[in-house]
Amino acid sequence: MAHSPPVHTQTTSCGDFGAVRFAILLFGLLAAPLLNAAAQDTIPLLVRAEDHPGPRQSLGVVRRDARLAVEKEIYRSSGIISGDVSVSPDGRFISLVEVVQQSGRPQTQLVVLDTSGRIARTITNRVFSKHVWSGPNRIAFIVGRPGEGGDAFRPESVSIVDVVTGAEQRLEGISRPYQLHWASFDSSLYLNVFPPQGARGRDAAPRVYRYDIQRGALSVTSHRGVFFSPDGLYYFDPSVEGSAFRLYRASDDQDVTARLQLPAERVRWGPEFGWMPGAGHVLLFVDRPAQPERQPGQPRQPARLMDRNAPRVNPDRWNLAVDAETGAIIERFEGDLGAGWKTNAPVLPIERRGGTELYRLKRR
Amino acid sequence: MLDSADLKAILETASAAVAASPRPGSPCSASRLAAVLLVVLLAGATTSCGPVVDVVRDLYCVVTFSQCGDDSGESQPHAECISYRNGQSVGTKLCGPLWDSDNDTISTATEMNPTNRIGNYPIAGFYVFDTLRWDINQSRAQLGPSDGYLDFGMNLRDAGDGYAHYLGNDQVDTDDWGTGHLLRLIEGSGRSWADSISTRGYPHMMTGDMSLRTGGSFYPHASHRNGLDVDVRYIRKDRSETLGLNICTDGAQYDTTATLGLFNTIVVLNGDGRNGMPWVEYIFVDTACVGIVAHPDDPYIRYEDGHQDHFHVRIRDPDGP
Repeated sequence: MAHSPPVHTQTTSCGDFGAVRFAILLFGLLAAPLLNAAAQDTIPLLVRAEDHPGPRQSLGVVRRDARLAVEKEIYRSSGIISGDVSVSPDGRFISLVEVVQQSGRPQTQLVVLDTSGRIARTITNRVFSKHVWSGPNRIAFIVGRPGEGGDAFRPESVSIVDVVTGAEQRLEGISRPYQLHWASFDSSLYLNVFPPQGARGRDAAPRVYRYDIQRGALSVTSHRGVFFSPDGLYYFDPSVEGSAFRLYRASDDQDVTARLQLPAERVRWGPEFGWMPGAGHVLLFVDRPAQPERQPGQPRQPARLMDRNAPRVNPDRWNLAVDAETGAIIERFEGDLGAGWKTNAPVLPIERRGGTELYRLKRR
Repeated sequence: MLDSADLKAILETASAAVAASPRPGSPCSASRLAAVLLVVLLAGATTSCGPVVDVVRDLYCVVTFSQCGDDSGESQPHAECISYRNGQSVGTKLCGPLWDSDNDTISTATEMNPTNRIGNYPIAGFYVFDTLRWDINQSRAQLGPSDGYLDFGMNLRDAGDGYAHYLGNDQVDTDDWGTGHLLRLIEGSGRSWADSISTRGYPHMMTGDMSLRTGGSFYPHASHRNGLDVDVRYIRKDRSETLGLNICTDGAQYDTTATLGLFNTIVVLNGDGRNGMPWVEYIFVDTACVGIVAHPDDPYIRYEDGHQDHFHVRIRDPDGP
């Protein structure tokens, strides 16, 4: 959708009227693309992967018009879509991981669509994981190699691809990254990097790097996690394979986890849905009843096969919004945050019994 | 008749048993039986030999040739484990199950694994095991699985009853160290799983990365640092033991039912913490693709990113908080 620039004309009695009009017209022509791009910075887009042939697999991408509450499929995969889609910060692109069959073997590729569902770029022939949008037009992902027998992805570096030009840049100076996060508050990519093999004690702590995408500068930080709040005042280190979730204040890297006014078990595992978009530093927890832990010596209960007909969406779930500054629960609201809807707008897509909503906290 | 050496050994054992205060609920041991019988027969004393129930249990174990070891005290041996019959040392046979000749909960396979031996080349272990005597399990998980390290770890035998270890990109005997408890879980699960192999044609339980020899950071893992973690492959429908499997991208090859059986073999049969057995704390999986859910009262299955081509078993540190 093109936006015309505002053009102010004025009549004059001078003889150079034609020249002025020409200059204005020329200005208009030159400025139009810039103004258009600026206008597109705020295009809200709401999409998700749908038509599930199996768990965590989809065949198509659906775009929803939030105002009209109308959904339309904009992309159909030739293979399967693995996991959720994600939206670029300016709302111009949608990215997804697609698995297609190549000579009878599954091949994973990163596909970038425009808002109409046309393929803008396909990134293939790489072993990768964890892609994140890193500002307009740029997508970053961890590249690596598979283990023998297809096991255990082994991260080696980070690539950043300009999805418009196709230019790819590989970050020099880091190896073995395993977490990526785009921090829009300072236009930087934060990376968590594995410590050296066999390291113990202080040396065994992962290192956090900051990559300033405008200046192209990589620097090591004193931070202990990469997942920054939208305002950059706090960050957290998530629970990974049983480690405890930790919340830190960014200014001095102080551990402030203890201030969270939640049951210990819930704090230990951390917020399932990270930070509330567009709301400073509010964490999103799922509100679950506390469950007593089983202890050694008690008989174990056998696991069972999942009911594939069970509903994928749980609109009756309750969530907690927790202020990182005070640790207090500031809001409790109903709806499923994990229904797969993704948007670039600073709102939270939730699935309720009444349908999809774009949720904003009542207390800001 | 007892020869003098045997008599001396029995007397020593008897003194140790009499001096030691029996722990409540401790199962029987043949050595204690020898001690008790000797004391009863020669000295006529019965008062200081421990509860009568222990004597009965010991007698039962000897008569039935059944397992009679102390399952709980891997680090608290009560005596040397040597048994006698008709005056001859029969040592291994009466003392423990087939897989643990001296009944010290460290399997015979682990004790005979050269990599566990001090001075072994090129990778040396920390032990001088004796398959006829109770060895102390000195392995310790230090700190946590994500920030800790491993002291006196034990190396898993590369293949055993019902299981086999795959290397991935690692060198032999570099990636398969753990606490004695973890080895006990793997070997015990393997033995249980062997039934499924023979009756249903399932492949071996394929175990992957555990911890490094002395623990610490283990690329590309966030944890696996202190000998409490082991990766296990999902089971393929084609029964291959050499190929890996990504259950999200290659779901057609994923045998959900067999993998469920393996989960329950590990957790229900071998990971309930009973009598000092390992306690499985978590199994980390890609929950969306795995197609298996834990019982609501026992939610040990947890989602973790990066578990599409293996599941990850974590046991609780038996010496931890």
